[in-house]
Amino acid sequence: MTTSQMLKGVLEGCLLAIIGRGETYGYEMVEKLGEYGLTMVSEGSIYPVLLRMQKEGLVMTVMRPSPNGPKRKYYKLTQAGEEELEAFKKRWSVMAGAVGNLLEGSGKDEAVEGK
Amino acid sequence: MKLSRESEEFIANVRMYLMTSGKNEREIDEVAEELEDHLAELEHRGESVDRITGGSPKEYFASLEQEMDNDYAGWLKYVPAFLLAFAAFAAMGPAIRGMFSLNLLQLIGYPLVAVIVAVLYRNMFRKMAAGQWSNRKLFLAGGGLSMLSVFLFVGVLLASSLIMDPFYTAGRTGNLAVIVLSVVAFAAAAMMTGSWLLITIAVALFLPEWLILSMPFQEEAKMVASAFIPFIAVALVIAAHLFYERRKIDRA
Repeated sequence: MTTSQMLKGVLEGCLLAIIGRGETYGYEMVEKLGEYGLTMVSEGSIYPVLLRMQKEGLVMTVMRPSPNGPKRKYYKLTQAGEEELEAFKKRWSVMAGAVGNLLEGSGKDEAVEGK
Repeated sequence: MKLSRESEEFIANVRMYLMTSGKNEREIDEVAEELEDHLAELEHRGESVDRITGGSPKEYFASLEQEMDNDYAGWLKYVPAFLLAFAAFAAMGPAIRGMFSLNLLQLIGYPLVAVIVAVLYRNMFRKMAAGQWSNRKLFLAGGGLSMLSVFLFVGVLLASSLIMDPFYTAGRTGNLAVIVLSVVAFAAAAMMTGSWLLITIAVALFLPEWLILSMPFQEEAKMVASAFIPFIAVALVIAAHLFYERRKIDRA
């Protein structure tokens, strides 16, 4: 499984975290994810997720002129988005802890073998 | 900033694919604008559209399609325009030749053919958008499909006139009335869709025929000329339209 495939499952949470740091737009989100080593094979896959988040009321958007000329869509978190981000952080730390334990092989497997 | 031709085509394909999926027009515009902005940034750094799709436009389009709202009602507003234009195209030719008539089989057959043709075109455009077709493939598929449409129409016309008598045959006044009604229908359809291409195609198709028929040539010469010239005129109009659209993109 590549990093890009793993990222798919947690992309919404990562986008919430990025947007939570301040108003931002599509390309910049990809760049910021990249700065953390989270690179994607298809950068465009953030847009379907952003659409869904917008419909679920997790983010709101505003159009502003960009230096490139065309208008640019900026995202920021709503109250519901902040709450979802907190919930995601909790779920993630449980998940990361569990996977970490599994990979380090602490306890259970040996316990089963020992019986 | 101006996008490369590859990127412009990608955006046009996204729009085409989502339109043929019956998505909300406003949402399509929003997504297309976001992708344009993203592409402008990518090109600025010397990267291409593959960064967006990961090399598979088909899969990427499907993922967009899944998240976007359907808006069939929004697209239904084009149905009356389609029906008007379609009826006018079918009626105007015979009326110009002074031979407008109607029988029951045509009344059922034409709408049926219209629906079949519309569905086939929709599927072709969809496949074209997702598959990033070459010009050659597009030409072959488009040409084949338009030939098939003409065959279906002529088929209904011939079959129906062999099998049954018309319940209405127009006289001089009747034909004139059909011509006037068709012109009104074309104008109405053009206004509803906001596109003048429809009218220019109709003019290219029917004006030469009308001119040829009203000139003092021999019957045979008229028949040959009216079989070819209108189609050449339509091809010229479409070519001019494509050229104009491309120039508009290049200038923007």
